[in-house]
Amino acid sequence: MNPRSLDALFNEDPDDLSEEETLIIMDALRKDRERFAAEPESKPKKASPVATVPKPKKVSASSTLSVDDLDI
Amino acid sequence: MTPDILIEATRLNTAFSTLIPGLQLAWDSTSMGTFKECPRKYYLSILHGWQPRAMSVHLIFGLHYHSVLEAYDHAKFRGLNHQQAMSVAVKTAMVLTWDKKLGRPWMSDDKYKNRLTLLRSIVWYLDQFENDPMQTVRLANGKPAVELSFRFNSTYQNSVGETYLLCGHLDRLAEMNSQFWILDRKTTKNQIDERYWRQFSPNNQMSQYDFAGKVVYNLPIQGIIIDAAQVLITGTRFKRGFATRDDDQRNEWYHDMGLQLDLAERYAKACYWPMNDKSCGNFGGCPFQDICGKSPKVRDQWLKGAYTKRLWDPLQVRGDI
Repeated sequence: MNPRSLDALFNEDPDDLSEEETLIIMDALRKDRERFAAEPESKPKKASPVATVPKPKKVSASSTLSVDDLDI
Repeated sequence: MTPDILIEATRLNTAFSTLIPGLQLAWDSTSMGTFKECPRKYYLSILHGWQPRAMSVHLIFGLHYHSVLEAYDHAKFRGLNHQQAMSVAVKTAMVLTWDKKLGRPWMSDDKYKNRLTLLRSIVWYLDQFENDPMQTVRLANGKPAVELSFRFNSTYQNSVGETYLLCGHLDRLAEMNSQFWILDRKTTKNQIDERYWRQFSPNNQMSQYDFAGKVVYNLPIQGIIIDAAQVLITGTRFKRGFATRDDDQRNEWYHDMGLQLDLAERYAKACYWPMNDKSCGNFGGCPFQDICGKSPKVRDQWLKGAYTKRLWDPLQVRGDI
């Protein structure tokens, strides 16, 4: 009997999984661990040293102040 | 909010007073944490038990993660080796994430937290801590100190003489170099850096666990060890952090809790739990934000439409994930 693929095992009622099939799942999940551990942790991006100041928006006479504007 | 509504809402909930309707007597860290965060959120989610119809993927993932690691801890304690206990854990995870009724696996639309990343996180975590110097404490009854339920008298009382209890569940009690620690496991999508660890001191849940460990097990508890898992799409990263408390900090938390209990009685007597409208956006947004944003006269209708009820009785169910 050919061993079932990981994908097939994942879609199998787990009550029907044999001990060997559980080990296959386990080993398949372990495979990428070392590769991932060797990857550097992504750091948050640093702000650009040259800050850019957005141009002020034109405020129309009819615009209203939102509640957030008052929250200082 | 009337006393009749409160009596009906808590009729089957053993954690609530029968003398003062709406007053909780048995407090787990979820109840107390929610109460501190926003009394109205507490009123809706704990007292009435409302929750969004779709259970949060974070909650499901966290519950499974805890249950599977607990199965591993028990298997190891029974004398199985790492490989055998891991096999028990994997099988447990497969069963828990299988929907028997529908005949298919748990379907999550979250790319970080799903069946595959759950199983992978469990296997990787257990391999990383295979030779963990933290050893599970053996209780006096010979059982492992894993998934421990606790309940004890806080010594605080309400105005009619009923005693407040503190209760909850600890993941694991462990010993390393003759020092005792409470071990808690967390999963997150966020980077586990200094900012992540800062959230645990001060922290209501960790303080209550630490306090409980000290009182219930009468051991020189150093504090909490947090095993954090950063669950990403391509892998899971683990880090271990420590949240210590000294006796002065414990006394301060205990004193503050007494004041919170006074407040809980005051709200119950007034049949009113005010909103803390400064916390609506915290932790990714309160699930009741849409309800509280509507007029009080239509809120019940909206709750019935989009939410479902469950009983939050900390004397019966597991509290924290």
